[in-house]
Order: sequence, then structure tokens, then C-alpha cells
Amino acid sequence: MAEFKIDNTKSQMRKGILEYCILGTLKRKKEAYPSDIIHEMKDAKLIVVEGTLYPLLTRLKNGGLLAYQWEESTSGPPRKYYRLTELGERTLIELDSTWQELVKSVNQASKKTID
Amino acid sequence: MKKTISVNISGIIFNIEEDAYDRLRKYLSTIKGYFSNNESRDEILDDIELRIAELFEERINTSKQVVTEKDVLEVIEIMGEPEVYIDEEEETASQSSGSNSQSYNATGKKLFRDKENGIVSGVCAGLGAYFQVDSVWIRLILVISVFFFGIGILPYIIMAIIIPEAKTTSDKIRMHGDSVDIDSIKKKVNEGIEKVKFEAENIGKRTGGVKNGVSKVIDFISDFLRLGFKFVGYLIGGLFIFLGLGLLLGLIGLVFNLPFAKINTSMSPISLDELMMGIFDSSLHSGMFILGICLLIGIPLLSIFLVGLKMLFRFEWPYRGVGASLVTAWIVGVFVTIFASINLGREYKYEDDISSDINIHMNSDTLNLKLSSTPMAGDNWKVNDWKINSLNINDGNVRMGNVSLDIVLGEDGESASLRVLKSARGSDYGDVEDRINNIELDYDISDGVLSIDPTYSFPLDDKLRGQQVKFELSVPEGKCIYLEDKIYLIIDKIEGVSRRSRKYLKNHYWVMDKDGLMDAKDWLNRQELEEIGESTDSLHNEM
Repeated sequence: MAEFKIDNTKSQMRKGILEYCILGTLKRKKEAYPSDIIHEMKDAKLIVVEGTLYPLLTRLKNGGLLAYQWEESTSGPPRKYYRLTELGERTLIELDSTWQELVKSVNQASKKTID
Repeated sequence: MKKTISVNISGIIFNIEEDAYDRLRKYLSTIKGYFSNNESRDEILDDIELRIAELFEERINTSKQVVTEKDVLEVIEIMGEPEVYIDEEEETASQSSGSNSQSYNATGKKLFRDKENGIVSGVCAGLGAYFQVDSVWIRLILVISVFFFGIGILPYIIMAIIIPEAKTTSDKIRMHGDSVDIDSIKKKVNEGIEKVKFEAENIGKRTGGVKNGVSKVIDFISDFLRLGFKFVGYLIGGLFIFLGLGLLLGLIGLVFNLPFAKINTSMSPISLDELMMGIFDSSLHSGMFILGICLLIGIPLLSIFLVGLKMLFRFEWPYRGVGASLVTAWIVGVFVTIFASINLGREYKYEDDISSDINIHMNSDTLNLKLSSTPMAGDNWKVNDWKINSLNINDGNVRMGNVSLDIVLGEDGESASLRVLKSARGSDYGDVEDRINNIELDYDISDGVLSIDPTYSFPLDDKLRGQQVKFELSVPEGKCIYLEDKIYLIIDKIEGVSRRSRKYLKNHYWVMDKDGLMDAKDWLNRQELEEIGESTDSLHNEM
């Protein structure tokens, strides 16, 4: 008996678009360090806790979508500033169109069910 | 006042309170554990530490220089519980496994209780998930085992307590792990090898060395050894589970007087309850003693069982301080046992005996010795070649079978004498005397036959306080005794005969000589020789 869990679906939906949003944020801000990105994501209610982000950033970086450089901070330890690579930019464009299509599909699908 | 520790997080020194430090270290090591299969583990952890350092930095200033537990808890709340990391990680693994064959699967299977699919507490469902079998079978085994004196109940309760419930989604995924088929086994093995390789490579990098053929061989050997150790570990774990559980069940069976556990030493089966009633003055003391012994023995057994479980299954303790509380309970057990034992010791402080002597007129030259009744093995008595050593408790009476008989050289005269000695222990002499007078024994002398009952009895209310009955038969020199059949069973000391040859005493005539008992035939032969000697002597004199 598989019981339907709305929370599960919600978090899966969020996770799916999290990477897309991170890339989007970096595109807009040019450069950002994890805490910046975290704040943006938190404000957008995409993540609740910060821990979620670190493995994700590392994976994007390993995938060649992001690059980083160390910068000294006036307060506290040095920071990793992330930015999009060329591959990252291209991926973002691709994801952009995917997102538009998805929005369209969702609208269409839900309209049909409403009708 | 609190002790602080100085730690280096991402190159910044923090003074952190000890409990806060423990919390933080546990948090980080848990995360580390979740990433143990991830190649970017160190990098991710560095990032996390960096962020933690930053968050700490925000929380200290010139007036507050120490990181407290509250700070750590706040930071953990911001960063999220370790489980949130794994969710992402699993996604990583499943996503990249398509494109990247070198992926590391983070789904290490763990044992959880599956309350959603469970009936009582989800132990069976969890075990079913762990072993990839329908939980119906596990339940069936449990139910069957319950019909065998309730054996299954104890492990069920222990497991319900110590196995954590699967609460988060990641728990639920880990509970099932990968399905077991050839592919997944192959994957697991490959993963293991890759992991070892990767770690060795890392070590190489860190030490600045170059990875070469030798290190590859070492990798392989260490991997092989690791597998071997793992197998031995499972074997030992299984053994521990059986051993711990079996003995624990025995202990519980004894305490609760279950039919499968009776003390069956040299006695007829007696329940622990009966035995305790026979030993302890009050039920309070016996209760304390039993409690103490249960803790004293039961806790090590429980620990063995738990260690076995931990070796066989992967799961996390749901509570902190399991070890500490077990040790504490054990120490309590030691003290309770000591207290009860000292109290008991007082009951045995004084010893005394009362004896009475009876003359046995020996009309003929021979005295017959026999048992008035012969306890048979299996008839609630244990009889071996040497001894009757039994204890029966019946209708408020204790009947013991360790009467002993000594045969010694008596003073000159025509009659033998029998000394009957009863002894006991107690907390004072009056107490001892009462006990001695309560001892009932039976013997009979008539027509040159001494028959002795090999058992004696006393009221259970008198308790087992070393009550003993001893007969001592003094036989004058030159008198003969006949040892009938089983009498040798109760003979303790016998002059001139070693313990070993006691068996040959059976159905035999013996004559008491200066140096002890002598075979009647030998004695007669000697007598004849002496008589011949005497007659030759007189012959010589006449000449």
C-alpha cells in the first residue's frame, strides 16, 4: 500500500529545480559565495537548511558547470566565490527552455483536467 | 565553570565548551559517515566546516569569546540535521550513475524498525526489509518461538528498544537498501575495491608519494583482509547473539521459574524459588540476591547480545549512553549482591554439633552393615559409584542424602560403639542447637545388623544451614564386619583402606586389625600362620 505523501512530492519538485535556480542566481549575480546563494535560496523558499547546498555545489563544480576562486574575507575565513563557466552558461540556457516548456506543459495539463 | 577546548576550524582558532565540542564533533562525524562513499567527501566537509567557522565567527565578540552548546545547536539548525545531506547525496548517486560508471552508491543498508508496515513496533517489518523477505515469515518465526516457552519475546523486546525507528525518508530508503541480486553484489564488490583504491590514492596524495604497483598490491591485500575480517565479524556476531540470548533466556527462565530452567546439578530438579527459600531468611534478602545476580550476570549477557547485533546488523543506537547505563546497572548489581551475601554470611557464622554414643553388643563376631533403604538413581536421587548426594524439598521438608559413615579402630573390648553426630550452622548458638534438634535421622541396630538410612531431613523453615549427619563406628580389634551391597556409598573414612579401593568393600568380610581393616581371608591366613608358629615354638620349647 503506497500511501501518497504530499511533502515528498513537494520536496522532490523543489530539488528538481534547485540546480536550475542556483545557476540562475549565479548568472544574475556574476559571482557569489555559498552564503549568498543560500540566502537567495532561502528567500525563495527553495531550501530550508544550508547543509543541502554544499554537496550540490560540489557536484555542479565537478560537472564543470561552476568554477570558484578563493577570496580573503574581512571577517572570518576565506571564501569560495563561485561563478558560471561557459558550460554552465550553456546548460542554463538549455534549462531555461526546458523550464519554459515545463511551465507550458503544466498549464496545459492542469487546464485540461479543469476542463 | 566549564572546560573549554581550543579547536581549529578552517584555520581559525575557536575556544569551544567541552559539551559543545562533543556535539559538533558528533555532528561532523555523522555527516562524514553519510558521505563515506562519496569521492568529494573531503571537499564537501571542508566547505561545511568553512561555513560553520563563519557562523561561529558571527556569534563571538569581545564580551563573548567562547562557543557554547547553544551556538552549536543554532548552527546545526541552520545547516540542517545530517539526514538532509544524504537526501541530496542519493540523488547525486542515482543521477550520475547513468552517465558516470564510477559512481559511489551511498545507500548502505541499515536496520530500522518499520512502524508503518509493522504491527506492534515494526521490528519484524524492519528485519524483513533488511533481509529482503516478506515480514510474514519473520512474524511466523516469532510466533512459533513464543510457543516454545516464550523464547521469542525477549529478543523482540530488546530489539524494539534498541533499534531506531525509520522516521525520515532517508531512513526509509536506507532500511531497504539495494535489492540483492547478482548485479548489486557485483556492484558492491566493485565499489569496495574502488573505494579502497580511492582511499589509497588519497593517502598517496597526502603524503606526496606516487601511487605505484606496490601500493596496488597492498590495496588488493588490504581489501581481501577486510573482507575476511568482515566475514569473521559476522560469524562472531552470530555466535554472540546465540550465546547471549540463550544464557539470558536461561537466567530469566530460572528467575521466573519457567519449566525449561530448573537447577539440575547433583540434585533432583529444584526451582530457584525453592532453593532461595531454603537459603535465605527473608524473601527480601532472597529478592535482593536474585536481583543482584540477575544484574551481575544478565548485563554482561545482554551486552554480548547487543554487541552481536551490532556486529551483524548496521544500525545506530537510538539513545545516548547505553554503555554507561549498562555499566551503572552492573555496578548496582555488584553492590546488591555483596550486601545480600554479607547478610547471608552472618547466618552461617556459628557452627556446633551434638553427638550421642550407642554401644553395640557383638554377640557373634560379625556385625552386618547395610543401608535401610537404597535410593535409586532416577528416583529423585542421584546416585553414582561413589556417593549419594541429593537434595529434595517436599511439603516444607528438606531431605538430604549426604549421610557419612566412618569406620575406625575402637578400644579393646567386646562391643563396638556407634557415635551419631549432628551438626549445623546459625547466627547464634541457640539457633544452631534448635536446628540440630530438628534434624531427623534413622538407624537401627538389631541382631548383629546395623542399618542406616542414608538420608536425613529437617524443616524447610530451618533453612539450609550446613545441617549434617555423620556416623562413626568404632570396631574393636579382631572383630569382623560385613559390608552389604550399597553401604559403601555413604562410607567416608575407613581405616586402613584407601578411597580408591572402596568399591571393593562391597559384599565382603573385613576384620579390624591394629592398622585398620583387613580382608577377612588374609586375616585368617595370618592367624593360622601365627598359630603354626606358636605350635612350632612350643615344639621347640619341648625339645
